[in-house]
Amino acid sequence: MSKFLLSIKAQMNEALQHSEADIISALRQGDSKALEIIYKQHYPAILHFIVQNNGTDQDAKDLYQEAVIILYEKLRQEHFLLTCQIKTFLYSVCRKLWLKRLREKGKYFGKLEDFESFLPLEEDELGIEENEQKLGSMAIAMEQLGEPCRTLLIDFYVRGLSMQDIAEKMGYTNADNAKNQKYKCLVRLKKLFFEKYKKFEL
Amino acid sequence: MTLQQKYEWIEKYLAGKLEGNDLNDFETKMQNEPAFAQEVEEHKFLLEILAQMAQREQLKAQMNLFHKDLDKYKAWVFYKHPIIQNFWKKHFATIAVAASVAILTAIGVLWNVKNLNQLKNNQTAYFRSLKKDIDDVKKRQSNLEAKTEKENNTQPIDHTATAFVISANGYLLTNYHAVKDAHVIFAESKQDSLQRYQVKVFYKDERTDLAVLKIEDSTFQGFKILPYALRLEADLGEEVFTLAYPREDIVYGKGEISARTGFEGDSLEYQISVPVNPGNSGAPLFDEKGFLIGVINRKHTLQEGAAFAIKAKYIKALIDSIATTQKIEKQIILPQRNLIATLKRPQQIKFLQNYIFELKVHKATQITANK
Repeated sequence: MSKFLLSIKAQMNEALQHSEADIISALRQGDSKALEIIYKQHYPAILHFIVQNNGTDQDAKDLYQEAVIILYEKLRQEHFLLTCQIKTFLYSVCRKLWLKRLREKGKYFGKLEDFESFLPLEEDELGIEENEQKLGSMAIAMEQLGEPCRTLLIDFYVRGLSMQDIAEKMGYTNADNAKNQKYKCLVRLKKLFFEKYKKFEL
Repeated sequence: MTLQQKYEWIEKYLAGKLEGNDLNDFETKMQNEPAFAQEVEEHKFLLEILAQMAQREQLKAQMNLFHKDLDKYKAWVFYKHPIIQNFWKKHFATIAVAASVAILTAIGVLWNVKNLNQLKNNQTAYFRSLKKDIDDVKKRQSNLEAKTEKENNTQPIDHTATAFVISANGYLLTNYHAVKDAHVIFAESKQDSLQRYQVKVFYKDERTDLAVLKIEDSTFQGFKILPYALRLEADLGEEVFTLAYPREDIVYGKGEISARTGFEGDSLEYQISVPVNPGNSGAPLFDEKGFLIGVINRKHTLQEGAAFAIKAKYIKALIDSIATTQKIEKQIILPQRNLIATLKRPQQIKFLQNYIFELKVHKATQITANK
């Protein structure tokens, strides 16, 4: 009897692991259905954690999306190996981010209420802060770049529009003209970005 | 090569679109010119970040779509709502303090209002004389009036007080206020044996609130020698006790002399910390050794544990003045010797209790007249 139960338990565990492994491998390939499953599955735990620790619905949503993005980006890197459950990973990242945000706001009173086991994530082992610095510097550089360069570069590099579409949208006479303009903008962006980013590196 | 051409070349290389000689040229240039290699590296870095931004933007758009299905998780229960919860968490201490202040204020106001009302009621009389009104007895008795009058020919008891013997040949001392309107007075003691005598007011002095009663009863044959004597001055802090009839039985009360003056600085009285009740009026006050040092007459109504007793020297003064001004057949002889000084308190009381009487005071009423 107990043998039977044990075998069932083993099977269930296997099924669980299997499904999580499936999801991870699907995510690695950028499957959006897998992303949806994960996203919907783990949000309640994070919402609970944030709300119990001085946060709002909106805080929970922002943080959770950031954590899912980090997970997604990590899984897209071939050499990254997820050593814990997805839930634990997301919870640990959210916890770290929320701790940081509370400290910035001066609302940290020395203790968080925890509901899950979590990885300590000290020393920026996931490169979260490095990433934030990069993207933050880029956002600032883009701001300083001003229009029309900003829209032009974002449309081309971020939104993936073709030079032809951009020329039409922005009112350039032809695609070549727009292309010329784009490279001028890129030179300026490069200058602005590396000024910022190097400052951060110091 | 213009800047634009150079950038296009680099981007083509990074996208893996260079082939053949073109690719060879590019790689040679990178090897030979470190500045160019650096430029390619930077360009690569920049494009990576832009690509990352693009990916993030796309992911966010996707997740926002997913999130619409998650709205059911919004905590909309009022008290669980994060804004309410945060407000509560943040301001709990403040709210608690504010609430306590509010409650204390409310209690304070109620208390003050109550005190003000009391003040109004008692502005002229802060003290209460200690005779015991027997309102309910009055009521009950009014129902039985006809009967009572036929059988006993007595009026209903108006109030009771205490009196004690000051002269073995038949004089008692009590308060003026206890007997001022009295028509018929009975003095009763139910200790060792039942003694019940009709007494008359012999002399009353409103100023000192003292009254001397004379036993006028055919059954009275005189008391034995009194076991106590007068002591004219007592000291602050001395232990004192009293025996009185606030109810049908004799009651012992103990305390100290807490002030040399009485109500509002009245030098006629001591202030004492003896628990007293209506019915204590006229009760003797003894010191530790059983010397008579005063007569209890009233208590403070606003202050717990503050009662007053007329000093013994005014008893002596009163008796002296009676002796010189009144013509009387039987002289009032104040007791001279204290016989119980060395006894313990229960023994002292056994001796004293037979000399202390409950006064039952009847007033003249219209009803008797009608009959």
